[in-house]
Amino acid sequence: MVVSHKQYTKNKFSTGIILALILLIAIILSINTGNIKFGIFKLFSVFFRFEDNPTLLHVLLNIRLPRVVNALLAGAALSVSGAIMQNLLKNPLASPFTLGISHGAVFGAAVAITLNKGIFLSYSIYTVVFFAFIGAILTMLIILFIGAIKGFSAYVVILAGVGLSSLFASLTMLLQYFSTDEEVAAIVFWTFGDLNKTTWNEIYIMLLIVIPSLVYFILKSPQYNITIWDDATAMSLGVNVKMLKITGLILTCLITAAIVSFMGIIGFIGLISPHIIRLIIGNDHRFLLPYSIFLGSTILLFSDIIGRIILTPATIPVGIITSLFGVPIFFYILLKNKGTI
Amino acid sequence: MLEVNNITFSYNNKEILNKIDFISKSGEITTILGENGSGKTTLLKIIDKLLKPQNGCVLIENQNIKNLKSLEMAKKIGYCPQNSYSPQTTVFETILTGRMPFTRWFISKNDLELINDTIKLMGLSDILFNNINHISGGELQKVIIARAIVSKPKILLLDEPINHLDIKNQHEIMQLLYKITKDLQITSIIVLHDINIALRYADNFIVLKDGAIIASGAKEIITENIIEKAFNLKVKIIYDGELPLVLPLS
Repeated sequence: MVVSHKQYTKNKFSTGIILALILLIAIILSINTGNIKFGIFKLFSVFFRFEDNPTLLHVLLNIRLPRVVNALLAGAALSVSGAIMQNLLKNPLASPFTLGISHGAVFGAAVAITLNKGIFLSYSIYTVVFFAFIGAILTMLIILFIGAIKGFSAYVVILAGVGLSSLFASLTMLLQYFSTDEEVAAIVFWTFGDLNKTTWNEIYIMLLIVIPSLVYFILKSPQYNITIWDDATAMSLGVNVKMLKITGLILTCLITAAIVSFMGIIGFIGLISPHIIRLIIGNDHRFLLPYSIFLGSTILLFSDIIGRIILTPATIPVGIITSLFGVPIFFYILLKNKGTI
Repeated sequence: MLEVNNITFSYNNKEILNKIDFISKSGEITTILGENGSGKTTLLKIIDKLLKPQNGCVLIENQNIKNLKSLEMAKKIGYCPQNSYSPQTTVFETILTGRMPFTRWFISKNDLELINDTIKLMGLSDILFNNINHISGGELQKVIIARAIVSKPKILLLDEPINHLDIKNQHEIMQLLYKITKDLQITSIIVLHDINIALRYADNFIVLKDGAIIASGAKEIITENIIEKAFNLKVKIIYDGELPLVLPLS
């Protein structure tokens, strides 16, 4: 059998087109979910100002679109972060939260919420976000420090992450133990992943962190195709494995920290969207990474739509829905598919 | 041609290799023999610049590898490590990674031609899109060798390529390596445990004991005394025509 590039990529390109179309449908549905409905034509005419309708424009630009962009950002960041973690740590269970980033962020947020009565803080949402981000970055620095001592061995990095998760979970519980009921409620509420917590200003900050990182990962994807093998093989094929690991860990932690700090914990996406794509098109990271972005964003958008309509007028945070509906679908694909993870 | 000059390597103050010297020419198979822990894998890693020796140098076609960047090394050397980990990927994608030192993001027509030639040479056409975890040990070893030779290297380093294979597959792999070495005029350095297989296919022999060469040269250096010295095992060498056969005594 002689292989042509067309033959190798045909299935992959058609999968990409299908995933992109489903994502587009999810975006349009998300914009149309709520009390005010936009038809497709209405949507375009309002967005491009062919129609002067300040109310609709306000709803579109300040309520619906930020939600969509948040879903795209979180879906992309968490999925790519998961795929890279699974690659670098050579562990299918790895996810953006394996290294304890989310627990570090929750602890940071808990510090901000419980100390707001203190003398040095005036409580605001920005304070909480800032402290959460510091908590996540602190976790990342400890992981890098421990990893550096042990040559960034996957086992050491994973175990350090598990250890730090427990440590920050305990510290958060300690803070909660001495907190008022309102503060405990605020901490718990903060952890619910939600796409409705940010405005454009925060979205711009996330874009600045997430987009360059995603571009880096996609450009480096041929090298990530090699690092699925052992380090000696990857090095013999010309990959600077140590540098790729360090940069990969820093950037995945950074984008996860940004998403968790601004939106709370959205589990499951980072773990399973790369796995579903692997089951469909294999482990070529040139396709795996962009398609995981499409799928992660799509899952988040549909989960958010379900969360908004299932108990109308109440909205269930997207972080709850992703696992609730996503896990059974994942199990179905896992058991139905002939491929392996 | 590969020249290894006076290589000394220590790790944690323990000497692993001591003054290793040898030359291996194009189109020749050199096999490294020695008991477990005698420094065979370390020597291969030093030749591939994965480890840095304290003393000595390695020359590939008179060029010191110290002056070569990792990507240039990857173009000159194909390395097959002892296989311990098989990720979820296909035969085709595995061979494709062997072209990565030459390709960037997109795969060229030339890359695909070379991949197809290698697939034909190694007889892997029927399992091209199979998951490497679902193929036999012999097939997997062929895939790993295909990945190493698809970049048209000058040097091929193989660390115990026939371990865990049945006798038929052992000979099939060694015959393939013999053919590749002769046809493509590659310098092949192979770490082997089976002395009889080594005697059948290799041109040159290096016998290591505690990190030092105790004998090197053509078939004739493999004597009962040298084997006893290297492995602490008494053996008898008998001849099947021209071919020596090593039989353990005990």
